[in-house]
Amino acid sequence: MYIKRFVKHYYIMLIPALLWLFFFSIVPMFGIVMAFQDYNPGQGILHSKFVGLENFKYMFQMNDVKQVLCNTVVIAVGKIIGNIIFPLIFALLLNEFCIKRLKRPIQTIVYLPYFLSWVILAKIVLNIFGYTGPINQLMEAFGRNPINFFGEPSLFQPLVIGTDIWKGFGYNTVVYLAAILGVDQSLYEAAAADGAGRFKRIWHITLPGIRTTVALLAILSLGNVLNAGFDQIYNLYNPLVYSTGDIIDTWVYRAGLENLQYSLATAVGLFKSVISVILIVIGYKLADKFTGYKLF
Amino acid sequence: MKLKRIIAIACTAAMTVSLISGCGGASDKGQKEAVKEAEGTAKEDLPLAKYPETVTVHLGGKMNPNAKIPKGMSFEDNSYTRLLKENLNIQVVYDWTASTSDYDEKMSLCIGSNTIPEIMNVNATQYRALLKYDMIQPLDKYFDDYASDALKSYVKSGGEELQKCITNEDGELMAIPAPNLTAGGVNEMWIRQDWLDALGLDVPRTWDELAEVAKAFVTRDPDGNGENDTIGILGPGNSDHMNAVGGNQFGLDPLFSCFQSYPQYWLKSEDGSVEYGSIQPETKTALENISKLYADGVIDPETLVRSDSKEPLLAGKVGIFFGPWWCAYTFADTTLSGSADWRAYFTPLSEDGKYYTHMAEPTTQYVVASKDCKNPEAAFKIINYLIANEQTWVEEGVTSTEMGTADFYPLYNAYDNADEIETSNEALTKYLAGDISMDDVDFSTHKLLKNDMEAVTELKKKPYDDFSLKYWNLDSDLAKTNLPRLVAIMVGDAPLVNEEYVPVYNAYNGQTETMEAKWANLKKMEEETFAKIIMGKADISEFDTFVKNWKNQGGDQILKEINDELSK
Repeated sequence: MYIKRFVKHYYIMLIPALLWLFFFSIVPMFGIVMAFQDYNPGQGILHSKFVGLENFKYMFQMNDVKQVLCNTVVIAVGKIIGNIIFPLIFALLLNEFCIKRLKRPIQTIVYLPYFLSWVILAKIVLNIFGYTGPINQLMEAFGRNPINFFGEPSLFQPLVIGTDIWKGFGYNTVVYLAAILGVDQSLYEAAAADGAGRFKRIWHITLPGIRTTVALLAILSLGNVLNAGFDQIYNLYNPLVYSTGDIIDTWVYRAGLENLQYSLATAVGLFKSVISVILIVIGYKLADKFTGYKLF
Repeated sequence: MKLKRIIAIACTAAMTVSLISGCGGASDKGQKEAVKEAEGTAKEDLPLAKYPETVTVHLGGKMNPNAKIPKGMSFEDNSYTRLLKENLNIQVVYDWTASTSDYDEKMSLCIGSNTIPEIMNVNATQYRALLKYDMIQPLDKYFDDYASDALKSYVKSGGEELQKCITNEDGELMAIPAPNLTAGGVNEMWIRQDWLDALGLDVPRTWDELAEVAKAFVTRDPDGNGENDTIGILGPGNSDHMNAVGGNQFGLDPLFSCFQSYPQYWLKSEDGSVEYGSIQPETKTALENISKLYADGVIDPETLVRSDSKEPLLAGKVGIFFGPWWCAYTFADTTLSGSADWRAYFTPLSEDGKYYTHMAEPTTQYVVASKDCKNPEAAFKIINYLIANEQTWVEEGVTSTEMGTADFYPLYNAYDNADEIETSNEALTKYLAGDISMDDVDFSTHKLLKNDMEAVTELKKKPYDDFSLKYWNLDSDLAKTNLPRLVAIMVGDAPLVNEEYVPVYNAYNGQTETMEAKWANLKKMEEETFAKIIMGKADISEFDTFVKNWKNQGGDQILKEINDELSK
C-alpha cells in the first residue's frame, strides 16, 4: 500500500485507544481466576481458595441451565438475523424512494430510538402493549379479547426480538445506505441502457455491490450469539416469562449481584466469552471463504 | 521493531501509572491513625464529643436523584455535613455516590472488589457477606461508650431477635442496626372510602366480601367517568414482588395469610422444627383461591407485567391494594390534592375471624465499619447526632423539603423504637380527644412526636375521631410536609392499634451454605410457579410438581442445614 515507511504520528494517535484497551479489557482479564476459585473478597484474588472446575460443574448441573442457554441463543440469533435483513430491506426501499427531500427526515426518524436507553424504551413498550395500550385497543376494535402481551411466555421472545430490531435498525440502515452510495453509478446507467428494470438493478448491482458490508455486519454480530441484551430483557421481563425470557445475563445478575455469588457469575461469564471467541473465529473464516473479506 | 518498542514503552508506562495510582489509593484513604478524643472528655459526653482534630470518614453515598439541592450546597457539602464538621469535627467524604435504586448494586460491587468505604449502610445479604468474608470490624468496645442512650434504647427495643442479627458467631457486635418498625412488616388492605361511598358499599372484611367489593370496583364504574378503566385489587409491578418478608407494598401477602400461608417465611412447626412456608399445603389453597380472583378480573390483569404500579394508583384508577402503614407516603399526592380517600383495614380476615400477618425481620438496615476504619466510633457519633437533633432541625428549618435528612444526612437510617408508630398513634388519639396535653408527654425518646402533635392541631378538623379526607385541613401550609405522615400514622396504623392480629415470625434469617449456591434457582422456580398459577398460565397441580422439585433441588438440604443450625 502507500505506507512504506514507519509513520510515527499514526502510532502516537493509536496510544489513547491502546491505553483504553489495556486498562479496560486486558487488566480486568486477571479477574478470570475467580471462575476457578471460591472467591472471597476479604482475602482477594491472590489468596482465595482454588476449586478448579467446581463452578463450571455446578453451572451445568443446574436444572434450568439448558433453558437459559436455549433462550439466550434463540433471542440472540433472532436479533442478529432480524438486524441484518430488516435494515437491508429498508435501506433498499429508502434508496429507491422517489421523494428525495423526505429521505433524510425518514432516515433521522428511524434512527431516533437507537439513542434512547432501554430503561426508557421498556416503559414505552410496556405501555404500548399494555392492557389499555393502543395495540389492545385496536384489537378490541376488531372484537378480539385483549392479550397480556408481556405475561405470555410464547410471545415474549418475538416481542423482545421485534422491539430490539425497531430500536436498532436505524443504525444499520445508515451503514447500508452509505454502502449503497458507494456503488459505482455508471453501472446503473449501463444497466438502464441495457433495459434492466428497478428490481433487476437492485438484484444485479446494488446487492452484489454491498455484499461485503452485509458480510462484515454479520460477522461482527456473530460474537453476540450469547448476548441477548441484558438491559432490554431486565426491564421487560417478569416471573411469568422466566421460561422463555430468562437469559444468561439476567441469570448471572440475579445470582451474582443479588445473591453475591461472584465466582459462579464469573464462571458463567467466562463460558460465554469462550463461546463468543470461537464463533467470531468461525465467522471470520466463513467471511474470508465466501466474500474474500479479510481484516488481518 | 520500532512498533514493538513503542508498544512496550506504552505498556510499561501504563503499568507504572496503575501501580502508582493503586498504592496512592490505598494510602490516602481515610485516617492513617486514629484520632484520639480531647483529653479530659467525660465518659458520658463521649457520644457527642467534638474531636480535637478533624476526623475524615469515607462513606458510600446514597443519593435521591429527585432531590433538589439548594444553591451553594452539594451532596457532599450541605447543612448536615457542615454541622457535623463544626460540632463534631467529622469531615464526611463520599468515595462514590449512587442513586437510591443503584446503591445496593454499587455496594455489592464494592464488596466483590474489596473496595468498601470505611463506614457504610448495607442490607442484610450484604451484611452477611461482609461477615463471611471477614471484611468488617467488631464494634463492641465502642457501643458501650459511644452509643447514645436513645440509640441504646432503640437497639434494646428490638429485643433478643435483633441482638442475634447484629452479632457474629463469637458474640461480637458487628453492626449498628436501625430496628425495623413493628408496623413496617404488617401488610394491610388500603381501600378507597370515596369509591365505597359512591357505590353504597360497606368496608369488606372477609374474603368473600373483599371479592365482591373488588368486583364492584371493576364493573360498576366507581370513579364515575363512564369508562371501564378501574382496577379492583392492584398487584405488584415488574420490579415488585408477589410475596416478601416484611412490608411489601403492592404485594398480595394478606391474600395468602388469609389461608395462613406465608410464602418465603421459615416457619416453626409444632414439633419445633423449621418448615418452609412456600411449600406448605396452605399455600396451595391460597394460590388456588387467589387464581380464582384473578380469573374473575378482580386482581389487576397486568399484575407483574406493569412497569410501575404507582402509575395507576396515582392516576386514581385503583380501589384496593395491600401494603404497610407507610403507603400513605406513596399516595401522598392524591391525599394532598383531595382526590382519593384511602383507609386501611385488616382484611381479609381468616375463616376464624382473626387477622394473621407475617412480621418484619428485626432489622434490614445495618451500618458497619470496614477493617481499615481507624475511627469507627465516628459512625456512632454521626448517628447519635442525627437522633439528638432530628426534631430540632425540623423546628429550626434546617430540615426542609429541599434539605431532608433522608436525602442528605450521612449514613441515614430511620432510627426509632420498634413500636414508635403505635405509640404515636395512641398519643395523638389521646391528644385529639383532649385526654392529654403536650406537657404530659416525654419527648426524649420520641423525636418526631412533638412535631406531629403540633401539626395535628393545625391539620385536623372536627370531628377529631373521623379521618375522612374532608376533615383534614388540606389548604394549610403544613399539609405538604406533615399530612402524609399524619395520614400514615392515624389511618395507616389504626388497625394495628385498634384491632387484634396474630403475628407470625420468620424463624430463620441467615443464609446456609447450600442456600448461597442454590437459592437463586429455587427462588426463580417459586416466583415463576406462583405467578403462573395465579395468572392462569398453569394449573394448580403445578404446585405439587414445584414442591417436589424444590425439595429435590436443594430445598431439603437447606431445611436440614437450618434445623441443624437452630438446634445447636
